[in-house]
Amino acid sequence: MIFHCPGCSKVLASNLSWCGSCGFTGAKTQEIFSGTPPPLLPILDAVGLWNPQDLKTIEAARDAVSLRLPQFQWRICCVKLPPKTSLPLFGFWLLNASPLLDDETSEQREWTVLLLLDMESGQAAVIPGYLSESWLSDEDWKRVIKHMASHWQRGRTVEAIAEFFKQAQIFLALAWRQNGSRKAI
Amino acid sequence: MVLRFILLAILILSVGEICLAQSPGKDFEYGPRPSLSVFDPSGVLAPEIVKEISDSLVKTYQSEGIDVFVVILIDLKGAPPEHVARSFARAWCEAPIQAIVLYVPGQPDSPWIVPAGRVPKVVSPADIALAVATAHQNAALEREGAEKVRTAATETTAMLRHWVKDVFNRTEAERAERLKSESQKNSRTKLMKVGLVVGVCLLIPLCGIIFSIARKMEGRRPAFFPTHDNARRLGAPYAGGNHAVAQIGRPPRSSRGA
Repeated sequence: MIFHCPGCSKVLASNLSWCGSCGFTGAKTQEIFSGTPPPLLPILDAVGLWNPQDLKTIEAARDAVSLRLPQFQWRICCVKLPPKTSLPLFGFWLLNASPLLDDETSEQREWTVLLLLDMESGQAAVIPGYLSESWLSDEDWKRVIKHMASHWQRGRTVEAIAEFFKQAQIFLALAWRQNGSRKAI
Repeated sequence: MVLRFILLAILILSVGEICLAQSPGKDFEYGPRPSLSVFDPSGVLAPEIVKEISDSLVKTYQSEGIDVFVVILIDLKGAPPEHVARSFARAWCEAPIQAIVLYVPGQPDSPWIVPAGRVPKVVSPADIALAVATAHQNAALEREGAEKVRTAATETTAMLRHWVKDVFNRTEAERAERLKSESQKNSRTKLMKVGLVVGVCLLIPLCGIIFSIARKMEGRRPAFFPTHDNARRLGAPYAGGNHAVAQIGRPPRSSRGA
């Protein structure tokens, strides 16, 4: 499996402790994003994009996928980052530095898929944990993201998130057919 | 060699002569059927007796379709009586149930009773032989030729009537029953075929629906992935980072909340 550096997006060499291209390590994110990260809530709407009804709709779409794929933990984070901030890098920091919730285990965090939406840059990124990253490649996640673009650009942000869940389920179901099981492992 | 050939030719001609002599069809012009049912060209019986016997036979023929015809000949010229009787039957009898009573005065076995038409096809040979022997026996008991003929004709009529009632009608009834049964069987077979086709036609979409439901149900069941514990990277505890990022644009300002 090929891993990319969240700092420079280059392929990591055999030494996984730091990036051979840019010298990035996880600790550097503490310098880049100073301060304490917010708790990684299931839906973190930092820009006030959605009202309570929207949140309910998004939760329903997420719950439908969770029924089918119970291992995956989904997090939606909508932010407005300073210009030129790397979204994959921010997501990497958020997923790793954000403290576990009270009812959250470290394994669940590793099964987490974080969808990060930046209202400033108009970008979306998906950052999967160690356990969830094996099933879809970066290219697959980009395809999933692009499916939500048309809804997003028309202002139908809730439908865009629902489309994200729908497409993620389709892609993961395909991956599951090759590797998965009906029983909990 | 020539002598042998001449002898063979003589033999063949002799046999041919005998056959011709025994065939009344060659010597006798039948013509149309006489109006009476008793043919007595030599006047063996008195005309009033001939008429009396004939009237009874004609009446039976007209009312019941049973055709008994009496032929009285002086001499058969060596021809077999059954052969002669059948020749007359072929020439003059048209009803399906028919018989010839052939009487030759002075012949101890006379009168001969020969059932013809459909009778030999429907009634078993054993039954015919038994009934004919009984009728012949009753006729033979009479002393006078006229009575022999009358008794033979009456017995033959009764014999044919019995067969019409017990054999022909039963056979017809059986045939009708068989036809009805076959018709019902054919109908059932046709119905079964139609049912089978309809069943198959219904079964295919039904299977499709069941398969579709099963797939849908299967799709709703939880799916689990094996745990691939990837090596920790860059000192990060939960995620090693990646670069799955894409431009999706910004939603219109009007759609944004507070």
